[in-house]
Amino acid sequence: MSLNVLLVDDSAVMRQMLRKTLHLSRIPLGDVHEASNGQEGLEALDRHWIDLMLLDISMPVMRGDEMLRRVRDNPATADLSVVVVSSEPARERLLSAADPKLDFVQKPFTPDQIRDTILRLTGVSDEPVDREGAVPDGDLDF
Amino acid sequence: MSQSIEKALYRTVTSIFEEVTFLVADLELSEEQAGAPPEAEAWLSFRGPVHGAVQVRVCGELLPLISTNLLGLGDAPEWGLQLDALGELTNMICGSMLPVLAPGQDFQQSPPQVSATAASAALAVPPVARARIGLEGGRAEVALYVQLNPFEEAA
Repeated sequence: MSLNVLLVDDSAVMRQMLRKTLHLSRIPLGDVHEASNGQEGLEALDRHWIDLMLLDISMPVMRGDEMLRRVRDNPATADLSVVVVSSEPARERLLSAADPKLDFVQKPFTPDQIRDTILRLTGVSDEPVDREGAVPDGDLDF
Repeated sequence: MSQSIEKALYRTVTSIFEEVTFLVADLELSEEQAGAPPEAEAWLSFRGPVHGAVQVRVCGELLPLISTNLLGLGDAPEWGLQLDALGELTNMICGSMLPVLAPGQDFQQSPPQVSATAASAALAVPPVARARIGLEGGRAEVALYVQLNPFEEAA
């Protein structure tokens, strides 16, 4: 199952870093969309089918915690898997609601932290599918 | 309290630059590093159990190298992304220092303001802590203000 991902961060640098991390993570990816603030993020959720959102908190126009509240209040997106990726020490505040579809990674992060959090939250596997008669990626030996 | 905060600031700044930009910090600055001209600066404010601000200034044409290393690129990105990278470093430094000021507490940070002028007026109020590290041919200077945001008051 490929994940369609939305990256919401006001920093273009951070969005590039996250995009690169996702591609290196071996997590099965579909489309990766970007937004630079919470308002743009909500508009992107209206336009695209998203399976996973990586969300910054401190952003202009609309903060990530406000966007998260609106995402959870909307029945169409209430169950969206969300990883908050932020430099703000906000773990206690964000995770106090015991939301099973929410997790938190503090910046600076390692690629493994992002990958492991996504795998845990979404239940997808990063292992290549061993289709019968097919050689799994990376196992070709010349 | 200021001495321990300053030590923590040095540790934080050093480790973030090393982990994120792969630049090893020199605690003793060379003449070249000390004399490097200002390049850009960023600041942001925070509020929570305490409020304040963090300012990061880089000197000596470090931003191309910082942003290249941060993004894993072959060539330096355009200037806007270089400034963006400085803003992100400021975010991380602030976020890592806040648990030192109030362990286990939540804070809110403003988005970073980044300026290429690096010529902010000399502030009348001293920071609670400063860190100054040499990086390649330049340096980074970080100031932490607590119970005070001189950038908003100066505006």
